[in-house]
Amino acid sequence: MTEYRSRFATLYDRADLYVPFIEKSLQHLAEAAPWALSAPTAG
Amino acid sequence: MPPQVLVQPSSPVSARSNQPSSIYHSGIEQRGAIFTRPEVVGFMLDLVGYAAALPLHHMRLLEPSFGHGDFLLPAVQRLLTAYRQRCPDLTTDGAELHACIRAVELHTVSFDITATPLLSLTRAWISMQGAEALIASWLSKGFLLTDFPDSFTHVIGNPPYIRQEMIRML
Repeated sequence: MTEYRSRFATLYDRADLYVPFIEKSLQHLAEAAPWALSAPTAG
Repeated sequence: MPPQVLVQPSSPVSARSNQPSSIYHSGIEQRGAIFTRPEVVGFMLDLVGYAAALPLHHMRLLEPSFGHGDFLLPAVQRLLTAYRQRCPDLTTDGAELHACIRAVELHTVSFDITATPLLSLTRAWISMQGAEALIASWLSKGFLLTDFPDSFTHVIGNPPYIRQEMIRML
């Protein structure tokens, strides 16, 4: 977890692992390119 | 709780290996795997504009957690359909397609389960040698700690839902 936290700014507090997955996915996206990722609903 | 779709669509529609070793073989709940219905996958592929009518063999798609191939297999089907329309040579080795897909899965069992139908699907369009080479290029293990040199024109998938407490337990 320490390695993950050092790499991903979004992985803080109790963030789920899907959050850094989204962060890293978007880092590799060309500018203005489309994307769609599923995530749990908040409720 | 049902998943929602986070998205930046292709058109302006407003919608919204240093891993612990045991995760490689963990169960569905432990690794946070949620499977996606085919109609949802089709909708999401349409939403990002990954359509067989387009020259997908010039595009690069990232699937960060391909699981059992819910997104990957339909996406490759679209890619190969697009490619065939522009390259009808049935003996092709598909060398132009190596950069078109980067699909990642840490879970070894899921990786192997998906590689088999993916090879069958690709083999239907590409020579066997070419198909095996493509799969070797397209699939890799481990996403978060891997540096990818490429940038991608599309990202699609369903990341694993795993609470941090669960990661510590794995």
